[in-house]
Amino acid sequence: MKVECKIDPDCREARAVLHIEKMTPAIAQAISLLEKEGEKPPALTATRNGKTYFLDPDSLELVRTEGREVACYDKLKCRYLLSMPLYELEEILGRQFARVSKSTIINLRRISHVAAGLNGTMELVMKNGVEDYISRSYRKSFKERLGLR
Amino acid sequence: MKHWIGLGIKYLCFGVSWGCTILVFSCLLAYWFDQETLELLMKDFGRQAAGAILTGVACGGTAVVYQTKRLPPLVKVLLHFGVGMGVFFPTALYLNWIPFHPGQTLYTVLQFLLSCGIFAGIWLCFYLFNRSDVRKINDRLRELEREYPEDAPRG
Repeated sequence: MKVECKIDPDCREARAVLHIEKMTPAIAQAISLLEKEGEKPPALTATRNGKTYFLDPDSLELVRTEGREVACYDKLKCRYLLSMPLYELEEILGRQFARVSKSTIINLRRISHVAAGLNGTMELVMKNGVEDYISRSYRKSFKERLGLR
Repeated sequence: MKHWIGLGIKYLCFGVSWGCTILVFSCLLAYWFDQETLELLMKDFGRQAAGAILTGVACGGTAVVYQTKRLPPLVKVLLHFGVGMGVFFPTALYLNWIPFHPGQTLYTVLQFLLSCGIFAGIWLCFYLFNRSDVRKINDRLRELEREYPEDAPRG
């Protein structure tokens, strides 16, 4: 498919027009992805010390399962509990977040750095200081999300 | 606790599979290049296989120690190498993987050092490869931070 992209700093609303012969699953997927572009994920309902909070997904650094609970950490390292399973959260949180192991989703814009583990794992440190690791099976997709091969 | 039992089983299987893989490759090499060694190996297969599995668990399975956060990195490396080589050397002597002749101790010591070198070399290759990957990721993260500063609008 021929793709043309015009970058215009004066453009107020991004718009995509596709000229296609027929709809294919790949094009439908691309349309759905484009429609979500720039869309803010909905606020999440979380609890902390018996109180309920509405959290802006942008403020979250990391979401992970801890035992039987699904917990998330914000920029101040405050821990909240979520009632949704991780796979649903992965869909809701959108492109800014990435899965790095079976049990963890992270905010890509809030990674402080990555360190080499002694056993071939990668240790991950978020900007709020929370640590986790990137498992081998998710390493490739994580690197692709960063634009690395 | 459940987490550690799961990890223990996973690393135990990992060690067993390493031991078995090395045994199979050794048999294959002997089959191609040294039929006499293969015959000796087959005559004593039970003990040889058990030795390979034991060494595999001691060298590969003990990597489970890296999963704990309670120990400093150097202690973890020493534990991994110490247990790995501590099991490998007596097993190798007992099963004649490293021949021991009285009066030729130097030869045995050199064989042992060579084994340690191979073990450390494999470990170092994995570590350096991982470290170069980490460096690329960190560089990319810094690049993205410059391109998309924290307070920039999303999308």
